[in-house]
Amino acid sequence: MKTYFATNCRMSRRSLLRAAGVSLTLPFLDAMVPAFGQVSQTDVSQPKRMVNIMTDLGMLPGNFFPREVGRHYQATKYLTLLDELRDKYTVFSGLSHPEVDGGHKAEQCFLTGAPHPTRGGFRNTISLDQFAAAHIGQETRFPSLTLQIGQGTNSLSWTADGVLIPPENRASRAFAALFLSGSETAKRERMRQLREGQSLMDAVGDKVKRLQRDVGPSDRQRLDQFFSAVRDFEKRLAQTEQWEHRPRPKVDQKPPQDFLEPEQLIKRTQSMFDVVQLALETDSTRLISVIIGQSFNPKVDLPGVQLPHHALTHKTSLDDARQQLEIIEMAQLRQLLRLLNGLNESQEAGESLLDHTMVLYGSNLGSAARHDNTNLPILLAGGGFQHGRHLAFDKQHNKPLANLFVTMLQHMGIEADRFSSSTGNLSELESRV
Amino acid sequence: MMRVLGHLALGCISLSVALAPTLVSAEGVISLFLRSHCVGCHEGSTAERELDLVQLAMPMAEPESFQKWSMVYHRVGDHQMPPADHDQPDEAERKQFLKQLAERLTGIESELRQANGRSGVRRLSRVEFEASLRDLLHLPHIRLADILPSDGMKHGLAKSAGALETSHVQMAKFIEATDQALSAAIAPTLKQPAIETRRVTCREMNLMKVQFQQAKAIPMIGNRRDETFLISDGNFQKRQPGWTCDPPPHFDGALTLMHRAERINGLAPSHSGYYRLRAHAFSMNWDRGELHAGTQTEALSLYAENRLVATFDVPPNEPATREAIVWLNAGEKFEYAAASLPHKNLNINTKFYKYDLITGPALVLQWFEIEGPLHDQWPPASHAALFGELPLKRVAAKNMKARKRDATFADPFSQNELLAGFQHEPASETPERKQPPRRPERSNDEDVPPVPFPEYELQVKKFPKDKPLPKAVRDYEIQPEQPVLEARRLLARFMERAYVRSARAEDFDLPMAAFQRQHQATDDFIEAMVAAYRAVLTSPAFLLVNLPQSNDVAAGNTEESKLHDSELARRLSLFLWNSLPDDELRKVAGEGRLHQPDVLREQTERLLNDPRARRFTDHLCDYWLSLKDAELTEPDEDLYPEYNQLTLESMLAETREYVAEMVRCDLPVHYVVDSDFLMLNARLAELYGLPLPDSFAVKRVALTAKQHRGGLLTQAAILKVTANGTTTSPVTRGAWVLEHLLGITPPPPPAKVPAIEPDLTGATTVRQQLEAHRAEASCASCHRLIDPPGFALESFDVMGGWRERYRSTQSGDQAPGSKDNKPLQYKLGLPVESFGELPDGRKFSGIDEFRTLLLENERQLAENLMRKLIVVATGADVSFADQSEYQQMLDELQPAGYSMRAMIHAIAQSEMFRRR
Repeated sequence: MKTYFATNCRMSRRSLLRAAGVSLTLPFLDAMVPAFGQVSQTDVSQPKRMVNIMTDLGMLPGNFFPREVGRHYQATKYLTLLDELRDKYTVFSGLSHPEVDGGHKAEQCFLTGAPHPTRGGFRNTISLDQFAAAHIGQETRFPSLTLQIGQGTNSLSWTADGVLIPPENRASRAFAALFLSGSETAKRERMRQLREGQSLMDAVGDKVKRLQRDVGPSDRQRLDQFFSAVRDFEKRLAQTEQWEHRPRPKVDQKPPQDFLEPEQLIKRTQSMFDVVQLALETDSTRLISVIIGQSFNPKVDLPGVQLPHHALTHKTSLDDARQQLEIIEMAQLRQLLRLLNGLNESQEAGESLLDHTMVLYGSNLGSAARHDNTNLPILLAGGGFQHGRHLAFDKQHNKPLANLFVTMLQHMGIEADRFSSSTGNLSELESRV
Repeated sequence: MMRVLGHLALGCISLSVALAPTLVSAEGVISLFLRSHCVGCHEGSTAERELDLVQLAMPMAEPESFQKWSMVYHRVGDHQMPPADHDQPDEAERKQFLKQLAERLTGIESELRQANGRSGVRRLSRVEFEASLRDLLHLPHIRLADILPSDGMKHGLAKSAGALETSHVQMAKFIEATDQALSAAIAPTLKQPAIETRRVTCREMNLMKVQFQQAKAIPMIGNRRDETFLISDGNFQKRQPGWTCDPPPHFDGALTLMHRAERINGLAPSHSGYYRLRAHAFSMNWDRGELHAGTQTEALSLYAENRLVATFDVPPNEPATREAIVWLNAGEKFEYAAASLPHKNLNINTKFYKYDLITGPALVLQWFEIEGPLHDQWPPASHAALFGELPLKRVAAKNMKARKRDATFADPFSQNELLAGFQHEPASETPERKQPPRRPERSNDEDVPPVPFPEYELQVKKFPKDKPLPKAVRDYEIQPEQPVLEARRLLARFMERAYVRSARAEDFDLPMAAFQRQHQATDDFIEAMVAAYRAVLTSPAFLLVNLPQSNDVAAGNTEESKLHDSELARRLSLFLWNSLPDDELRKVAGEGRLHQPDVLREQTERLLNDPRARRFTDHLCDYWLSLKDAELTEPDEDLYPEYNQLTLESMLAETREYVAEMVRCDLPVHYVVDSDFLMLNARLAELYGLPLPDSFAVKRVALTAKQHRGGLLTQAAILKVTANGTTTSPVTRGAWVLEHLLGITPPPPPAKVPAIEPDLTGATTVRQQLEAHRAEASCASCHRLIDPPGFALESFDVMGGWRERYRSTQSGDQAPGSKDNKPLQYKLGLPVESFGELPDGRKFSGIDEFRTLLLENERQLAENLMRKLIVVATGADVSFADQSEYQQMLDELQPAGYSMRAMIHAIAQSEMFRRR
């Protein structure tokens, strides 16, 4: 019980800001300010978005995967829940990341596909959302949002250097960063701090450059990475400053509650998904990653559930435990349905927002009971594809999940023919547009 | 037909030379071997694993191709290449090839190191960053590591360039953490906060009332039950309000039967600092409604903001005050846990009083107290580290108003009306409703006891709450007559400590520019200095390690790869403290004496004897022994009802204390496997089935009879990190032992073979499942190597308890005992078999014999630990060019059994350590 609130343990950011009266620190600066990338090819009037959601304890395969293939599959117990949106999503089987193993540890590779996360010397690679952010991130106030539903600091988003982008796990703070800007005084102060940060980074960068002259080739490489980090941060500060001149979007909603009690998985999910929807509706960002982290094993507060969540996944050979797990997973899928419906009902230029938003939902575990990382449960909703089908691939020789990622990138207008372990795209997923 | 690829040159390997077999030069041996055994698969664009040995036949002196060649060396050396199903070279041929390749690589590596150094430039890791700021700013407990993204691993540790990547995220987070630390360092007010004593009695704990209502706790007067106390939560449907009756004498204690952590409201301190933390309690025994005298010491743990701050031993029968001095951060909220009690939450569905169904030890809690903050100087040492002796000047009252307003407005997240009231955590407990307790007029509800008395209200009108921290606005300023001069003076002193050398002219550029910008904008010396210090702590000289000194290069220093004394000081303090040198170490280095062997030895000894050396052993535990992964899984509640937070805390403390003890007492390396003592507390003794000590503090206990325990291998924490919450696997544990204790990298699992699904019905053991797997020839060769240590450890369950039979929820005999008034939820299933056979044919019957066999591998244990320590110390693994020194060090350590401290000294004195 003591382990749940790692992020709570430090002093409140606010009390420290007050104590000093000065700080460069702004929430979200690291993860959520624009990256400079190549100029995007996307049509501004109809921008495409991408939301990637991973739940870390799998989904009972028997309840998820349909038997039949193609358009006329019979909805399984879980998919029945989403049936009202049947023509708005595609369910996949036989997808996984090749050579990504290690059970729970594979969660860090869900959007990266980097092989063998448990081996010594493992180094992660860039995640799908960050790859896309380098191309289209500069078009929105936040190039991407990295969110976590759960405790600790796990996220799906990784930089090209294999560094984890820390997530926001409080819906209220995500909301504040998106929509609250404070008084004029606060804005002026923030602007000054952003400029101070740029001056400092500029000077630090120069110092590093000078140092590079005095070192050997491999040290020069290390210093070069450090230099890029400094310059990159400086650019992000500059971009943030540019955005500060524009007012934040106004929303009617009240700041959401956080529901940090370990048991409150479902309420916590709902709260965070609400922020996801608002962020998309206001076009504050077009790239969102959400990790739903439950492996720390809380008991989920739902009628009929008596055992902790993680423990249940290891007992699915027992009827009673399996039924309890079903209650949890169905409640999670109802939250997904709520999000999809919300996006579907939200109109943008006369079209549903869902038709311009790809929502990937899945898990890093094909079978949580066996910690198996193949045959992952994956579905992709929205985005304007020809949905309504079950696309099945070989269960023995899975298709790389990264092939789907390539299709998603291309669908966003990013000219990528490779991503991570991809061997092509997923041409089976036809585009309607 | 021989291919001609190019000619032989220094630093090149070529396959070209069509040598006559008689003229076997080094290159000849190498190229002949490659041609005969390797290039068949590893050639051209279709080469296996994209390793094209022909293309690789280019200058080895490129770091990348050097790495590939060393991989070739290790693959061939470990007999992984050529693959088993290909023609094998005879052993002499293999040996000759390896010898020649090693010689060649050694030469090239030495050259590479001339240019690049041995360790390479890297940034600080997050624990090093935190420890450095703690020491630099005299803030011994500030938590910064949580802010920073986690580091990678290389050679199993986070000490190498390859593990410590940098991206914009790190820069942002370094600055965020720096700002937090600097803010915390500055004195919040002109005057020292008054020492305050806050006591919360059980009468003032709202939660106790709730627990009384739920029949989970019992009001007490001394060691008797308060029979006159009555409580009812009312009946909403019948519109009967709740009431509480507490006629004198009032209750003064609360007997609790459960170990779940519970909130204590009203104890959160308003200032950071050291506090005396006290608790007043005693233990008794409870048997379904009856009180009996207590028989044993129980544990009472206190948490501040989920951080364990103290575990008190609570004696039986007589209330005793327990005290600890602890650091508390302002606003941290408290919880207590009656940690050693067996029941978690009395989660019982019953219409009876829950406590009437429960038997077991109980704690009677009377009060909790904090006294502080205790400062031995004001402004605090952290403030002095930034501003020296500069006088603080009170801000005139008329200006304070403006300051308060500015402070409010400057906070970017406080101004939006939308935010009103939302920043604070939603209260987890509903506020007390103010309703006068009324006697119910009539009661048809059987649950409500009759009310036979004159009524007395509960004496407490209002329960204490943790208030949000008041807005701290600095009520003083610092206005030196010559701010720029003063700033330079302060910076010079600070940079000398942060950079471990005297400040140079160019060092002032960054911080002084930041100072000037800030000073012009705000005219506030303190804020301007914060900006300057931020610049110091963001500069490469602080954040990067192993940077060459630029004046070396300018001076044409030929021995540039040799560390200067100041760099040696930083390396030594990073090795043993994860941090910067202290004043003495810096002084010795400044006098140019540190490189003298006896001085270096003396300083190494001094650092090891300092409490900060715990950072070194803890880091070693976290990485070498995987303790950082200890909380990734939690044992299944049904199968392991004995497991709780105290078990986890105790097992982590055991291993950490044990490794610290190995260093403290200079124990030989065989203590990794075996020992004549254990580090125990009452909880661990219970888990291990040993006589119970009377305390929950982990202490050294001599091991009289062999209880299957001893050494690291059989410690609960190790057994836990190598298991998941439900089952153990000999494969996982075996691989862990090979990799972490013996230094053998086990072959990776084949891609297409799925993991075994543990049989939860308990019908087959994991061993039986594995047998089937091992029967296949393609699996057998690896499993013969990997599984044996795991088999020996099968006698230990997922939390480190000894087992003769597997626990199962399905089949077997019902386990005796109960929890939360229910029979235990697990059954005792199939018997455990822990015999096995090492790859060389030596057999063992179980852990004790296995341990004896393992002890014969003393050199291997020593090599493994030594290599880990060398990586901790230098960031680089032992490589070709280090071999001769490394082997010599080991030889010299051998007579004393490779003792721990001797290893550390040997490393500190080594060439490896003294080179950049």
